[in-house]
Amino acid sequence: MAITEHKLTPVLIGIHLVALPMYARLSPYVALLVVAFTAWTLLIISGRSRPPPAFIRILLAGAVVAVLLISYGTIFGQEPGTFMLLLLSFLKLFEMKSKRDVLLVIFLGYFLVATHFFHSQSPWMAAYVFVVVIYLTSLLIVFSDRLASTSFKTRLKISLRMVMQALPLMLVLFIFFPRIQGPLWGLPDDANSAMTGIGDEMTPGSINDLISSAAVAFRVQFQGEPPRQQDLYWRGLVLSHYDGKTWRRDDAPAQLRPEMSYLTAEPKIDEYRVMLEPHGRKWLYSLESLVAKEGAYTVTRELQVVTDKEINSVVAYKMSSSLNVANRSLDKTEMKKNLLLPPGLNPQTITLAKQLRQQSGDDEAAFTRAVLNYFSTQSFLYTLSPPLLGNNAMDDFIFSSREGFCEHYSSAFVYLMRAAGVPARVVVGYQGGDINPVDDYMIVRQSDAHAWSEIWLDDQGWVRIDPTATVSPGRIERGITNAGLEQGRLPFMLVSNNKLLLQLRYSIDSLNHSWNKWVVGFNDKKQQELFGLLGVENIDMKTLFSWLVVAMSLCGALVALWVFRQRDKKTRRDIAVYYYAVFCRKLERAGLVKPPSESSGEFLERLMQRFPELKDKASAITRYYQQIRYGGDDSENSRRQLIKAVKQFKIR
Amino acid sequence: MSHTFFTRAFFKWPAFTRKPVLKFIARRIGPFTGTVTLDRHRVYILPTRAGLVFLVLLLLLLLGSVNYSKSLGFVLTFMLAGLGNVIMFSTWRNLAGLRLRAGGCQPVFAGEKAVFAVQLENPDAQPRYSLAMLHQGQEFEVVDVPGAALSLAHFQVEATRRGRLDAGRFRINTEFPAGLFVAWTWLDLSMSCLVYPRPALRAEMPVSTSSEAGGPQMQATGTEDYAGLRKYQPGDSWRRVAWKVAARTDVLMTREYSGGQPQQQWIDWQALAMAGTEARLSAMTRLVIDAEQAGQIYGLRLPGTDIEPAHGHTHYARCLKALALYGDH
Repeated sequence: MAITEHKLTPVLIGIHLVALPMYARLSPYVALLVVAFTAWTLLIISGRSRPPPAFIRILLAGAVVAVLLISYGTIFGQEPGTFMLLLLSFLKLFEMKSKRDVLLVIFLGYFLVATHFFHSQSPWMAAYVFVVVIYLTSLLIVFSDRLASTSFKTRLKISLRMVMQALPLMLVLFIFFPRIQGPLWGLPDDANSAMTGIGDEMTPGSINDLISSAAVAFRVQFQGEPPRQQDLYWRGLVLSHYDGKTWRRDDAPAQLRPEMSYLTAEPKIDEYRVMLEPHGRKWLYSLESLVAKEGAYTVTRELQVVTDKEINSVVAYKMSSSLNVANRSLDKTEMKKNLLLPPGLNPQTITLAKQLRQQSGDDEAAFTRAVLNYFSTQSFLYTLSPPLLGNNAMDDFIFSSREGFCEHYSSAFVYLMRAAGVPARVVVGYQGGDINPVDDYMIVRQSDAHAWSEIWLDDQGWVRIDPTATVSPGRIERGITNAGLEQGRLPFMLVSNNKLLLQLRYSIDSLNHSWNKWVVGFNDKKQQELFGLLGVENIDMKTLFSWLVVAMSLCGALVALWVFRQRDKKTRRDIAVYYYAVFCRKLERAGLVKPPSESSGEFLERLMQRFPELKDKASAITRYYQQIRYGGDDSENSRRQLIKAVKQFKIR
Repeated sequence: MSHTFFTRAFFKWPAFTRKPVLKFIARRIGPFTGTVTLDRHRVYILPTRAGLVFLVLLLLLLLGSVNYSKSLGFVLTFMLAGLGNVIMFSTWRNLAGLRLRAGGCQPVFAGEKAVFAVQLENPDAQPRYSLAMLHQGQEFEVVDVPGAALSLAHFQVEATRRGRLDAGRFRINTEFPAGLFVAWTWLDLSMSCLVYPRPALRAEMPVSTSSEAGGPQMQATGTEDYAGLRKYQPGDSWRRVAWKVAARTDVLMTREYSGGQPQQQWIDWQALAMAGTEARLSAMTRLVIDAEQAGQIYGLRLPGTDIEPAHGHTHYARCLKALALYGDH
């Protein structure tokens, strides 16, 4: 079957629909090729250009490879690979000769839409892909409709119907198909790009870049009442090493376990479940201070929870934390590490530290209070746009600019502590979180990113000190939007006071939460959990497979019934046609055939000659049929009468 | 497309393994008489080459989803798998339930092509699209059957020999709605077509034996005097229809000529001095055609059969049928 030019238009639209979510990411050269190929195809469609000959097409394919090499340095990798497939499907439009070429492009389309999920697995993206699949399927129909007798609308309708009928099997497969945890082979480096979150080092500005993002970092469901706002410190990383500019990790050897002790006989323990959004790093966030966890994660001596693999998809985990517990892990090496300062820097700060230490004598707690007091009395400003700092960053901050964000305060505080001989370190993570009233879970956003400090007190172990709370108590007690920060820098949707907008925001997030919980986060563990809810614990893969087969057969039978039944599902007028056909078939069995050319009236006359005894019944049926079909009377009543009459119609 | 990927392979099997399969198929495909409903025993389905590629696509998507642990990748893969399943049912359903009946077949002369018609009845309200009619591996026509309606699909068979030509089994294919599966049925509706002998290029009855009426009348018809018009009756020669009048008045009239009734002519087997039955039959066929076209009154004498002189379409068909079936028991 030859592909005429006008049949190219729907395919061209199809490719663009497939590629639409990629357009924001295209490199300029790739975008140029997309525009050029589209324009050329349009010229061919309108008859103003001929498809390029083979050697030009080869040249164009070469150009595609060259452009990708220039833009990305490779044609492999996930992103350039995707664009390559996209450009090649455009090229394929130039040589549409047979049905097979079109099928190839449609199949490529099915494949390319899957790559969108590398970048977003949101319900919106899923809905978009769903729509595109319906469109692509309607294209499949064009090319199997040999007489071109279906309209665009009919094809869309058939396609929509088929996709709907595909959903039961999809659901069954989704639930029962055994999940093998990937990867099966090494992932390319760029397999998971474009993720926001806290990095593994801290320089001034690294956290305050996150503040303008309303993206969700994780969601938390507490077993009972959540702790107070000012106790919501979500611990991520501990940064102990400072080079004068950047704070970095310097973890204790992995085999060393944390030494913990409860402060009270009946500590209050909060149990909670975190749904962590992918952040591409190898750690989890936990509420301070962690006492128990589920899952094969490692808890370091610094109370960081680390994973073997990068978190590239939503992860759910259960944890227990308590405020009444102390971390008493400090050996000699750690002590030394947490007192270390870069040599020869910030002389003024060191002098200040020594001075304040002397004033408070041996009492480390008093010294801490003095330092915090210094921050609150010396007109320090909490701001998202602090000035740049020089080589002696601490001196500049403490003695001249005095404007900073949590990063500045935590690092300055730790610096002062170390200078005075108190082991101290920086902790990064999130602080706060707001409850979604729709579903009663807590949302922690990137804008809640925070840095604070920990100091070692011999009698108490590691103690959290948050100097930001001194400078801006509102930040800690009521969250980032109430910290007195410049409103323009915060995400608009967070600062808006519109009630309706707020409600909408919570509803949408609630949808996202359920989506993440049951769809995006559906893995082998979730599968086990689901079957656990049904009372089947620890289901193995073999059982799962046999269940899958059973469920698929049931589902297949159901869908088959659906597909076959829906042919008999009739519109009002069709019901008349159908039952009239039943009537004709009954007569056919008695030897009276109605050719399609004969009208129902003529047929009735012939019928009455042949079977005079059926006159009344046959003319009633014909009358009902004509009324419904042509008389505009398709009332329920006349339909019912027709059906009844046809069912009772008998030829002796 | 004549055969699918699979059926082509089937014909490469050794004959002894094909036989039982063919026998099994033969039980389902007839020959039947009357109306045949395509129930589940008669509709077969297999993936097309595109369907196999689709399967490969599904496997690739599955591998990708596992490797990158993308849950929505699984969702898409499973949705497409479900779609493939629905397409399979839909393709099957596009054919199943169809009711088939033998349509007519106009007699042809040997050497021509016999056109067989099959009536397709769709008892459902939903239309059925793109049903292809194939015979002996060749596709002849693609038809749609609207809801609760009838369509005709045709195929041609080369008529090589006179007599009755059996249509044998034909095949109806459909790939609608997606081209991923092909559903088909084989059916033999006991259709046959009457094949007249191949007419000789020219033939004449020997003058000596054209007996009673004699040959001169053959020429005489043209020189008769025009006498007037009368209403057309079945059996009148088309050559004598007054077409101009018909075009004007919408009534078929036949021109009548004076000079008496056309003379009778016997087309006689015995009178033809020719070797071979078929050659004789060919010559006689030519004579029947010529006589009918010339508007003559002619009779046919075959060993064992005499057809009294007459003219007109029915007579013409009767004579040709006798020639076609001569010697056929």
